[in-house]
Amino acid sequence: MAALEVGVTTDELRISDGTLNLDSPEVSESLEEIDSKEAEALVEDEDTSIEMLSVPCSDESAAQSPTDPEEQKLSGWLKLVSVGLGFRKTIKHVWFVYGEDTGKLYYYRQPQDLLPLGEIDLRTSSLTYDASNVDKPGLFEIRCENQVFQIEAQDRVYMLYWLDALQKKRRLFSLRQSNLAQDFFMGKKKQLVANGLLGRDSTDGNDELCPAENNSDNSSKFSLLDLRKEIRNAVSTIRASASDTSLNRSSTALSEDWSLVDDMSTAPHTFTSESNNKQNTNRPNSFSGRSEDILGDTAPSHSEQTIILENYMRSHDLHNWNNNKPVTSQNKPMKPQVSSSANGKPSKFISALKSNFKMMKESVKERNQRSNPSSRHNSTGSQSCYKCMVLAEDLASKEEYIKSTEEELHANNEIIKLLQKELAVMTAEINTRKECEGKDEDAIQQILKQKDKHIIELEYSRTVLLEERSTLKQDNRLLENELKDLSDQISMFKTTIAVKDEMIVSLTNQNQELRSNQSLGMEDKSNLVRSFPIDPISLAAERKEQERLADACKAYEIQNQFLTKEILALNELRQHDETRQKFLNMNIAKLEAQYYQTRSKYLFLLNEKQVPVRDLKQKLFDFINRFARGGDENNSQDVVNQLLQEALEAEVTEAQEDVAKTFISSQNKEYDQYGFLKFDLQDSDVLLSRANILSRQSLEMEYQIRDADEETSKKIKWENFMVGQSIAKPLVRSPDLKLLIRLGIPHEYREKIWKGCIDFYVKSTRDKLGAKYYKELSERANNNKSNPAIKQIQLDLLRTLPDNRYFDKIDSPGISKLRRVLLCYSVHNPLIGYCQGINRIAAIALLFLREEDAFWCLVAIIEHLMPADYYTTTLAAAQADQRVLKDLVKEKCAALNTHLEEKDVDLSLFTFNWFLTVFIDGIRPELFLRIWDVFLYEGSKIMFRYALAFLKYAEDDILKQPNSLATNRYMRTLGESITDVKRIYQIAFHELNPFPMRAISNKRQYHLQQVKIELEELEKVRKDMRSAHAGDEECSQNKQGYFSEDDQE
Amino acid sequence: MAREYDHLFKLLIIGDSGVGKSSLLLRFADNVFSGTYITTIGVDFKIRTIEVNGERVKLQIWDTAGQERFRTITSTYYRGTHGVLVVYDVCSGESFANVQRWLHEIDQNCDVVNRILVGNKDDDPDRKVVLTQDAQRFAERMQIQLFETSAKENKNVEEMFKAITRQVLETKKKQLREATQKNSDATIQLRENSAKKKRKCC
Repeated sequence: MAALEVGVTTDELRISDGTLNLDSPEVSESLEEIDSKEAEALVEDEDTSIEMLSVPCSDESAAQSPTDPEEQKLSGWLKLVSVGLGFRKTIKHVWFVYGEDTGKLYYYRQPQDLLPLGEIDLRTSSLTYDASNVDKPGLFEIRCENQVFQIEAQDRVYMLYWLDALQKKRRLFSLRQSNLAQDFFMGKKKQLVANGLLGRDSTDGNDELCPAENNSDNSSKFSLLDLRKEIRNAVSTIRASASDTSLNRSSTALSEDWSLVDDMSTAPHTFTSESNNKQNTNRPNSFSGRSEDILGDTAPSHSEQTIILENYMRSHDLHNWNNNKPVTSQNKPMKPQVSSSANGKPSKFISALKSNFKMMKESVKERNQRSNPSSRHNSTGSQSCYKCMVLAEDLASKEEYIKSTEEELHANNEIIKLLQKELAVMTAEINTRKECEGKDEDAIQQILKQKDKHIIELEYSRTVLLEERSTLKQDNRLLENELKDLSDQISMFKTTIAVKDEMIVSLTNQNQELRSNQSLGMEDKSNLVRSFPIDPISLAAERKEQERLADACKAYEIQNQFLTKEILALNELRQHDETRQKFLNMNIAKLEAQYYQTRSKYLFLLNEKQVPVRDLKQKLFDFINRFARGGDENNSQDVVNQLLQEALEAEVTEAQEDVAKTFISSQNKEYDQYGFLKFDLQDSDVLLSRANILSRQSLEMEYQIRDADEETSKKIKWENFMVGQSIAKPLVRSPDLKLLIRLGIPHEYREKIWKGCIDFYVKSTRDKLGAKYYKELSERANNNKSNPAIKQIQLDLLRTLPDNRYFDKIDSPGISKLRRVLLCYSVHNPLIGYCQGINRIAAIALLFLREEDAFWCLVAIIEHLMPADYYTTTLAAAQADQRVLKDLVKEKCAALNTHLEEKDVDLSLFTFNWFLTVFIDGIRPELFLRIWDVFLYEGSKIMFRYALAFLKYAEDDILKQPNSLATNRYMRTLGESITDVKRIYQIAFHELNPFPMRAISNKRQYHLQQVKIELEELEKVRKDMRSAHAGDEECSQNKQGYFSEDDQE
Repeated sequence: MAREYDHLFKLLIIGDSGVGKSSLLLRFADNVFSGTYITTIGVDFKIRTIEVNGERVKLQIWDTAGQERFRTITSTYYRGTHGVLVVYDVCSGESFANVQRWLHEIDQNCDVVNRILVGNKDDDPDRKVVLTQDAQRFAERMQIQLFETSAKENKNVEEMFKAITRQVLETKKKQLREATQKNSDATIQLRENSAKKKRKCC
């Protein structure tokens, strides 16, 4: 039963289903009321109902990230069923989170866990569930590749929500993937970093611009809308099927097939007979109407919409019936209109319904007025009692007869009145005659006689009339008696009819039950058939069984619908993949073509020379040098020259025209992903430098191929980690995270993690100083024109990262920000003010972070990560660190230390800048960013790890250097030459161990003291020297007007 | 295998920040110029071999950071330096005024060293504020050779470097002569020399 509770339980809305018992009229009526109410609610505001349906999902997201409503994460608690050893099933309650970036579903023991227990790759998965599983209605399966994940939701609604959402997500991900792929091949690499300088185009200086976010916003909105639509459709179909089954149940002819159309076609003829059963006897018309409505319904409806429409319509009809209760006359012609209009113009059906409803009401009224009391007899007793009718007719004729006699009587009375008047006239005449009697007795007597005669006649006629009247009266009385008897008789008949009706009702009821049980029995092929008519308990069981089957049927329907959707979705995914593959194939073909072209050129070149390879190399080298320096070419080398010329041009153009071209040129772009120049066009020796870069790139590629597996595993680890991170959640230190960061932060997460790391150090200060602190600082910095740092900062702006596109011109987007950050820092910490080196730190921070965050990054590095006094006027701590490093080299690379001492090479000449700029100076971006990752998390001590790792990495090469000059030369480019990031990582964090940090701290302390003592001595010497030199020179200088501003520092 | 050079000298370029030390070095070593070079943190060096007086001289030229606070660590840079280029910007009076301090730095770190004064950025007469005669007068008084150069227009750069190389070469030869003379003298002096070497450039 619970499995079929499809609706959301609210006071207003309850989507009912086949659980209702239609045998009791009260229930069916209340069902109708509910249905009609529901229908109204749906018509009037569909949106609210849909929103109510989506309530569980919004609750979930609210629980997940309350502060960030835009980040609609799909997450929630579900049970993961896993089959362990010995086929024992274990059910774990785990927190599922969908990773938007990865298209995977991760599950965690707890929502706040860093690393998930596992993941399900949704991209290649298919979803399914078993509708027949009643014990676990929320159980569904995700099949991906070889694995099957069984996941259980608390109920079926929840499960359907999840399945729906997962489908959506999967589709969106696939879409986005193919978009990404397209963008990628069109040369527009998607920028994932939104806030740093890297996150946006160099031409625009707007802080808030982040197109990637906009995109994702749109897509999420789209999916939400879609989801709502889907839910609505699903609900309406469920509703349709629910009401269908309810109708089905009400019909006496229960067919074996539950499908709507077939069933309905058999229904109409049963409705009239069944009407007595279900409705009160005084409103039979509603049933005829209903049957016709169903006739209209039987028209095959293919689209979901029409189902909804008909569903709406049905509910409305029910509504009408309720209003029509008092109507007694036949109104058959009304109903077909309703259904036809609904079928014909589905879009206007609601208004049509309403108008129809009104029309119907009016017609009903009219009929009411027109209808005669006599028609009641016609309609009610038409077939039940012939006798009664005869009696009634008889009675009517009798009554008519009485009426005519009464009229006659009346006429007679009037005649009598006339006669009396005549009589009066006559007597008056007689009187006058009596007066005249004296004159003529004879005549008078005659007249009198005549008169007497006349009077006698009159009197006679009067008596006759009177007699007649009395007889009439008597007659009347008789007839009245008769009438009374007859009406008594009628009332008696009526009661008998009523009794008979009741009997008929009960009989039909029985009949219906018999039939339904019969059909059920046929279906089940069980012995129930024999037992049902006698045993009421088995009847109830039958009914239950019937309900269960109906439920199952509906569940299957839903499942079927879902699976169809699933098939469609999978097809779509396959199509996406195909297009993606096509793109890739195309690009592979392009690359291949280019490769062959290059190879043919190379062979051509070799053929042309036909000299030993060594000579060729030498000559080529000479030639390249000469060519680059604008020297002459030999005639014999014409072809080679031409080829070289071509190559040179190709390199230059390739480097210059970039974005519009696809794949290949995007790889050879002038700038790397961090905005650093890859290829210096101003270099005089274009070909050589290009060759160097290419060889380095090939080396890098080799490493990439070598480390591909680890890279992907690292990427997955990061993805897993980032899925558990939300923007609002601060980063928390953990051993897991430490190891992850040592592996390197992927480009796209760098901003988030860096910011999180910086917050470790400056969050409290930042909160204390308030949100406006940076703004105030920049205002103060603007107003403070006497800031001694201004000049040097201004001077260094363009000299910070001249090979980076965000800092290479005075109007580049990074320059103004860099200026502000540095000025703000000089005001924030006047003791340090500005020290060359921190400009680069700020610039790198700006590449990934917002301006204000970059400022705080600077604060974190200078004031927290680095030892105190690192950037102050004496750089004492920085100098001390160099001595610490020397000590460590002595310990860890003894051979190297001896070599450097022998060759009199000062290590600090090459390592000092590493430390002061946190390895930005002279190290390749890929590497120093890795170092920064770890540095920001673990602190300044890792600088020793890396510096030692560099030296250890190059130890063998350094030892090969024969003399001081060569060693110096090698050391100078040591940082740049290191490309094997992974090897460095291994040395730094494995081979150098044990690396006790306390030893370093002690060494630092010791050397710092030493440096400070020496600095004091130096200062003393300096003062002595100055006082010794102080004399005419400085005076003369001052006279000339050249002032020193040294003392400012 | 013949040696690729007859002499190897170490030169050091010092001067205020932004006067064009790196530009001079890159112009001389790689014959390139760009308006903006990355700020030198600590130190950087380049190598070029030139011919002076028929001898091949390999120059290892060290470029230093100009900002005041980096002076505290430059002591290491002076070690083994044969010649120092003190650079100022002819468009900046302040950088010229600081030359005095830079010369003090040299005195502090080396006993004997060849020096040369370089007024760089001498390519825009309108912006020039340090007059040639003032600089000349100052240079004479300090007994130091002055060159006004422009790394941008490659003016006087080659000449300037050749001049300092010549100086260093002469000093070396002089020292060699002295050394051979001294060699015949007592060995005790040598020991004194080596004791002094700690703060000596050559």
